[in-house]
Amino acid sequence: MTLLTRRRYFLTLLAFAGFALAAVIVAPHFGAERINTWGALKAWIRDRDASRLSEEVNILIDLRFPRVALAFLAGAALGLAGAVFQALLRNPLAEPYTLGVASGGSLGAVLVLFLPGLALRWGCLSTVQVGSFAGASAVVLIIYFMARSRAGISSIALLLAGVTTGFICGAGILLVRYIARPDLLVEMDHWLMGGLDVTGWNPVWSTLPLLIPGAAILLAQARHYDQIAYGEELAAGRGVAVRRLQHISFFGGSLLTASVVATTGPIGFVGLLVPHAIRRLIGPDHRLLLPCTFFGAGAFLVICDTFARSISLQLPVGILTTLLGGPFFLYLLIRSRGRWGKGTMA
Amino acid sequence: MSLRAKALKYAYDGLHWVVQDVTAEIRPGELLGIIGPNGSGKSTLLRLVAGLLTPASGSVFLDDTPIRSIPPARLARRIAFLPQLVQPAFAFTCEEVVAQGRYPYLRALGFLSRMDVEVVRNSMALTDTLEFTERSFDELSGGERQRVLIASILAQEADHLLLDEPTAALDIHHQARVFEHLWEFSRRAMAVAVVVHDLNLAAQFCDRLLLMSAGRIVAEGGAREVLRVEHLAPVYGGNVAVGENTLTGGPLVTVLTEGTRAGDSG
Repeated sequence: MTLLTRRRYFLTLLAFAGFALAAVIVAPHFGAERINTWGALKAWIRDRDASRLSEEVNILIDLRFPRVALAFLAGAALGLAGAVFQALLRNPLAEPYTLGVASGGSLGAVLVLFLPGLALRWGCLSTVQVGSFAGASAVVLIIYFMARSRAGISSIALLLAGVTTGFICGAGILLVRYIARPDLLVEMDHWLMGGLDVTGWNPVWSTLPLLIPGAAILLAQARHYDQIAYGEELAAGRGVAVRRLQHISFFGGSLLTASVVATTGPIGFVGLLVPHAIRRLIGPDHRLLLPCTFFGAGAFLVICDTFARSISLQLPVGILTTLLGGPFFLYLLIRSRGRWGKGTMA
Repeated sequence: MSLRAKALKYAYDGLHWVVQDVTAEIRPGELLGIIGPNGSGKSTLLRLVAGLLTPASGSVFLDDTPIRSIPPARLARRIAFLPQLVQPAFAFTCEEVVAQGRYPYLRALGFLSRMDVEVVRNSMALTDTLEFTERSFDELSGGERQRVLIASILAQEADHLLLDEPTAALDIHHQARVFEHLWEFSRRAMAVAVVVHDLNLAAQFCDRLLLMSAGRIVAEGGAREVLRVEHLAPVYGGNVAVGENTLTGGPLVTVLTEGTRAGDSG
């Protein structure tokens, strides 16, 4: 790639935003039932009195639109968090799922939801989000201190630690599931394997209080991540406040991950596949990579979920992304041949 | 225009001094070689001078201002530091690698001005790396990468360059090429300090040498004054011989093992 100019920056950004918009507009047309989308929309605009609305309108407004919106937000958040974790840990295999952060956030959400007396709600902010953030942050802190330890931990070992943390959190969720009331069992499954089956708009709004600040924090740091890619010392020598950048990035990454997994559960490998593909397309410059990943990963999950919905009404999209991303993760791991073996954060 | 270290002390664990009571100066127009055995504190000294580590006592002064009181971005415009064996985590092009050296000058989204691009081109021209402009950094050989990285710290337009073993893992041709470039920069009134293991390379190119041992400077001066058996033998432990390099006229350091000594007498 030639050096990034204003022109290329805005044109590329526009292209990705346009692609995302197109995906979001087209996706609601598809699904298990055939719906005359335009007819239903017209009917809804003409008469918004819910009691008289047809079933088609209800499916569109209360099921498909919120599901597509949630898919976009979840993809965007997980993709952006993935791209940032990859830059900070200098490892292209890092993302919220492989690092166990998504599972930590899911466990946090499940604990708040299913332990008595913890679930409280104020508008679209609830203790579920808070619990999810606590869980994600706890895992991020573990990763941070392991990566910082003076003995130096290889990034492959770090991933192993992340995957193991994911297992532990998964077991925690299974434990809660085991002792929970039987009527909650089905509801709990999508915290084990992420899904986007929501009804109504509340789950969508509830992601925003954490998602918006998280995305804003990370996008504002975009230019510094290129420096971190050379290691802490070179970055510090160039005037990057390395420690501060790490702290606010891990904080922002936790916010983003928690914002969506509190509702959707861990959706694997979105944060791995999409930044990798976009780096191939436009180069690794983080000023462009981060916003393009935000739009691209959102669109990607919308498309995946449209497939999942079309195959079967309730197929959790996490199964699809994991079937796509898991083998790709293994491919990258084999191809690396220990290239990231000695690269610690230092 | 000078960078001075005054009575520096540093310990990573707060117990064992890695650098103790080091006072030194890096002068413009001079290529300074920091030599010494492994663990003698060379790299730590360089990091202290670069402002990456904070000394337990003592200070580093840039034009009589303590560097601790200079904001990091401003300091990066005066002092450029290249760590050992830098490997970017992603496949940047060489031009991007060099352009990222402009970081301390850029604001907001960091688009390069025409002047910034000019500096990037010049830095690449000075290190003979213009031909790699569009190539991926990953594709280059070790020696070529090192020159691109040196171009990237040149693009910082700092008047002090600090390099930690820039020739580690390079073949002799590329070692010499890197040192030739560093020597040229010093002739452009830059102050260049380099940690180097190869004493003969240091003798050939450096204007002044600092010999470190156990965190202290034990000898300082030109190659002829520093590279003497009475300085080197206690530091490197034993069998060091210094002769004359008949090609350059400078000193030539050889470590004698059992084998070579047997050959001598036979």
